[in-house]
Amino acid sequence: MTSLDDTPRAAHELRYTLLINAAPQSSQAAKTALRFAESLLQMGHHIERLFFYGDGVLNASRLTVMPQDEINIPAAWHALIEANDLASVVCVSSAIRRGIVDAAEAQRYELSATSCYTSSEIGGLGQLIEAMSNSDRMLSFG
Amino acid sequence: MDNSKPNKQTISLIARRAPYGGDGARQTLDIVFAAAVFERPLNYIFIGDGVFQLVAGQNPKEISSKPHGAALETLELYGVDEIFVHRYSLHSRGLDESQLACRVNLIEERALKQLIAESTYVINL
Amino acid sequence: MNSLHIIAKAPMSASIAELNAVIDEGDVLIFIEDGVYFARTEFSPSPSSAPRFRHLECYFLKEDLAARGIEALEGMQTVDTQGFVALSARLPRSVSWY
Repeated sequence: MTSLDDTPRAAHELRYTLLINAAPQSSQAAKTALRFAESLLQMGHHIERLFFYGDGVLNASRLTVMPQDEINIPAAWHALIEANDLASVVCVSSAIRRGIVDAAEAQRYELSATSCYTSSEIGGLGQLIEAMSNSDRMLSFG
Repeated sequence: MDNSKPNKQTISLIARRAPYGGDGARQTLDIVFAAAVFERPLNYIFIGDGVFQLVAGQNPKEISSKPHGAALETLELYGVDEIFVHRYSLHSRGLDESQLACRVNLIEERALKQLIAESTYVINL
Repeated sequence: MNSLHIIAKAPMSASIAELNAVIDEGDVLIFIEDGVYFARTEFSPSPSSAPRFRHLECYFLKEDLAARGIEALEGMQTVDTQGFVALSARLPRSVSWY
């Protein structure tokens, strides 16, 4: 068995767009994506944008409560985004369908509460396309 | 290779989910529309159960869903004038071209691999 | 140009026909999450399951193998998440299968 523990860094810094397409609870994908994002930053690469799509928008729910001994994935994303000043977008059409709203959307639709971490911006698919234009790599997790 | 040249990037979108039972089909289609609006060269490729999205005569009114096939028929208006369908996926599901709602480009496995190899990005939800 | 295929579903749940249709010679595969269950079919095959991808450059994500109690088998290459990142950096394009 061989392993790549001593993986050499990539020849140069790369810009990544990460598409997260699964809710934090219903699959392992969000946890994998979080570890991937942390690792790529540690290795000197850049995150051009995080894009949460479909059920992935639930990764931005600041109303998530977890038992003490379980990781709070939305809080972990929030911490990563803030610590590294990352650009993070939650897809508006996926979000409003799932009750992930910020102050602007709550006002627009006359909703009684907001649910989205402010570290992520609610935006459109155009921001995914634009991020891809400015990236060297794009990976999807779902 | 430098991927960050927008006018040279091709995005391949693999559609392999059946419509209505899940929202994967619609999610992929929405990205196709967005990429088309931004004039990105794209390959819309139907494989596996994705070929069911193209079947003619869909009527989802009684299941409270938006007609998916009808949405696909508007692609030409967005400048997406060619969609690729993996021949084996279609035939192995007992379908042929005459049962589809729109004109498609049937491709063999070798051509499918070639489309992927020429893409900058591949989205496979 | 070659692709990195990221396979996250177990053998009986993965879309094998579609994987075979898209994966090309020279592509690299990384098995993650439930995809690490391919370790058994690829590296200790039984009469009812034959290896399909062994002839390609394949990697298995360590953290997911450990979680599932799968020991690395003879001939298997494993990587950690940094190794996963390195693979994504090396190949110009990735295709996710989930």
